[in-house]
Amino acid sequence: MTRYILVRIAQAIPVLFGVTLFTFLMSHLTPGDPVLIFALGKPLSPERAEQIRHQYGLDKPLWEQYGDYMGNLLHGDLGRGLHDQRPVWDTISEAIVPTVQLTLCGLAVALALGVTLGILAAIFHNSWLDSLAMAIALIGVSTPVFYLGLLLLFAFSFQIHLFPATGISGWKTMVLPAVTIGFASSAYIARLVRSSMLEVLRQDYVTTARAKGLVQRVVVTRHALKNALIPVVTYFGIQLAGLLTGAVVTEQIFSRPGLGRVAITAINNRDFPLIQGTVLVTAVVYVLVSLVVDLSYAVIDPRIRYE
Amino acid sequence: MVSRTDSSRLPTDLRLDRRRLLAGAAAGLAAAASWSQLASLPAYAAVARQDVTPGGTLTYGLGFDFDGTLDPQVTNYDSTIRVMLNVCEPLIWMPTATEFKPALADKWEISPDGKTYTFSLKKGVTFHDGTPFTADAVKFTFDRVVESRNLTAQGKQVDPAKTITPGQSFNQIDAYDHAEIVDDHTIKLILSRPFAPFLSGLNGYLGIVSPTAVQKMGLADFGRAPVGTGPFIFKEWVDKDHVTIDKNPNYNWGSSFFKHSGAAYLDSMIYKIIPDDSVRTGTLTSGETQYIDTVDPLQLQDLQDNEDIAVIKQGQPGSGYILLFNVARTGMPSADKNVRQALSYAIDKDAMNKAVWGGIFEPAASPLMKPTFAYEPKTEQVYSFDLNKANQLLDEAGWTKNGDFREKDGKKLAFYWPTQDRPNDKAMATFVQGAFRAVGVDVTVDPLEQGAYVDKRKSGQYDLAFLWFSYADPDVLRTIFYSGNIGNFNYANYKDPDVDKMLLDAAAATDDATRKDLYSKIQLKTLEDAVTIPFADSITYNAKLKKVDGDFLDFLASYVWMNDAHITE
Repeated sequence: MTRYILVRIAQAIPVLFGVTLFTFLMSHLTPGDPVLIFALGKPLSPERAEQIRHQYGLDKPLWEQYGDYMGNLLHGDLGRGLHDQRPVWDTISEAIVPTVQLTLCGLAVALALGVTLGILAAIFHNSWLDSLAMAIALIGVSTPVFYLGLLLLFAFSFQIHLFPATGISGWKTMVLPAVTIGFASSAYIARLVRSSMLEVLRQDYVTTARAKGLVQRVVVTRHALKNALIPVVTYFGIQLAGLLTGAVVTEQIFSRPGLGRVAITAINNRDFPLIQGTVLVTAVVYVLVSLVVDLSYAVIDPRIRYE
Repeated sequence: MVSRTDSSRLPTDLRLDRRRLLAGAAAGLAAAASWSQLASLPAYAAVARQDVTPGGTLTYGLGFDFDGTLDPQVTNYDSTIRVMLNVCEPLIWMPTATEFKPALADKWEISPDGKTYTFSLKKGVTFHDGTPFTADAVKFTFDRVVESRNLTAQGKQVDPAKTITPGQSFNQIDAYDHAEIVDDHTIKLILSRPFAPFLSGLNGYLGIVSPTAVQKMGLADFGRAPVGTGPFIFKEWVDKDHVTIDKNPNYNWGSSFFKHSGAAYLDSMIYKIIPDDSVRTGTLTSGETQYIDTVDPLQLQDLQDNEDIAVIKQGQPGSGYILLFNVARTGMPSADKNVRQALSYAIDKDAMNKAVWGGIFEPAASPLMKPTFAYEPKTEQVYSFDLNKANQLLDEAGWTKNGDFREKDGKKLAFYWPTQDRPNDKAMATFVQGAFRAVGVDVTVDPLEQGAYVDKRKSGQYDLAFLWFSYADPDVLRTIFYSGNIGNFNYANYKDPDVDKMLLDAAAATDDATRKDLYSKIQLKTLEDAVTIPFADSITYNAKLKKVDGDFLDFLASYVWMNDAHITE
């Protein structure tokens, strides 16, 4: 097990190296000069532009800039943002806190709602409850996040003043954003749980369990659910990584700080160190999450072993 | 005048004064009286409110985020200054087109050659860190703006950890050379050339900062927690969420322009960043915010119908939404003055205002917006919306119709227009595309991502461009039409020796009448050459709960001064 983990982590190193090279090239080769964008809307003389470019080393050859970047990175230094001269790590570590909170709460909503709906739909297969659960799932999948967010805001913030529309302090500010991002995921989870549950419920060992005289609740939660959850765990892992870095629409609507908005601003500003920093952190998150997902299979399904 | 008559934005007692004034004045004169004239009445400062209950917190919904810093001299964003001008006060305030009021400077004097500005500074003022405000701080603040320029000129390295990369502040005091400290409370700012708009540039971007705090904290930290002399003290900044500022209890040096000179009435202010327009409006209706800026045109009517809410409407100075022809593209139709003049008749600006901006702006005739000093009303007579005239002029110029589009010598009358991929820009370009098509001109609109757009513009490969430039002084015309600014904001690549000379003379002249005359000629000349088609004057719409009073929107219609702001019950 330990060896497996170590190998997986070692495998991640070339991946992360590739990510740094790729983002470096992508961000530098995309049209747009950071200095001109920096000054967009304001006058800037060519001499002044040249001066700023020199100040930030942007006039050096590309490979040299990449070398500088990698050298600093190996010393644990992500550099400073071109715009604010703030250490990139400070910006990212500050933004990642509300993002993690939102992601975890959102996924909690998704799991609670999705698993419940999925189980109900599977147990009461082809009943009205099944249709209802799948209808909810269909709505969840097809409602754009920004629209759901605005609807929730309109109803619960502007009409009945139950939850604040903005802010990041206190559980009240978390409810609407968590439901907003959790709802769409819950729809996928519900469908996944339903189909794999249906499959599992037809297995011999479930019949055996029933034959032993176990009550429905125990059959479902002890015997069936655990096995039905494997595809959900995979999906959950992808969602977790995706939301950690891609909840930007939700963040925007609910005026929440977060990694997604940092990334978008950085890209628009061609703030190279910040772009590279956020992409690198994103890549690390993906690698770690997929590792955790793989490892969790062993816990859920004892047949899976890492040797 | 731009309708600046929405009385809801005036403080209550001024509204009373205004009624009294209207009753007493000759009707015609009163109708023409603008807010700027009213504000200059001594009555405004003299009226003292007795019934203000201090206290409370005002939450302000900001439509735009900051650009990563709160340092007034580093930022490029107005949103930063909207917050920071309450923390780092400038030397003077500019409430109207022609007026300056004392802030940290009591009075000032301009030398006859227009190059030396002598300020006498307020005494007994202390920074939030306890250090006294003296001429040193003024010199420090101005010097840091030009430090990197000077270092580079001397061939020295610029260390970003020690020297700021100045933002908008640099463009506003570009002409500043050095300062001479006369005594603790007198300072001479010396310019490298006479520069008439200098005073109008001394706004929040030149808010005076505490030299001690800058040195102690270092640039990056200072940019996250600036220290000034203002009525509010910086408290906290949670990135992309909010900035909180608290009342400065020791403050007693408020400008004579404000109704009271003592500490702010509000205990604190929270500036919340709410980027989504409809959410920002929603928070005002639910009371989560009490003041919001940049109201979405689609929601304006709803807010105006809401009896708890006052909409604050004010025209802006500077250059509005204007189209610029790339006149330097030899052999291309945009270089043909006859074509440009003909097309100046082809745009129905009223319809455009309705279609693109929901009718909340005003059709424009001049590259200067109406509230700007030296706006020339004669520009309104130069062109009108007249399709027959446009067609006739194009025919006369030899561009004849072949099918839907015109051509001359086998060349199609077509324009290429790269725009930024933003809803408003696209709407504007699409409207013009339709209008030009009606007279047989083909426009290709190319919406580009920001970086690609800037590159395209730099390359000069375009026929049309548009610009909007809010600015306190008509010198904005130099930014747009001076040949020295080709490659910069002179998107038209316009080069006319007469206009160049007039622009430079007007920037240097210290006499208002001379300036006015020159700017009038420039406005008419650029229209006659059809370098530009002005589309619309932009208008600021902010909104607040009616129980908020005493807030004051500055002449640029961007910054809200909160010295007198309070919440009535």
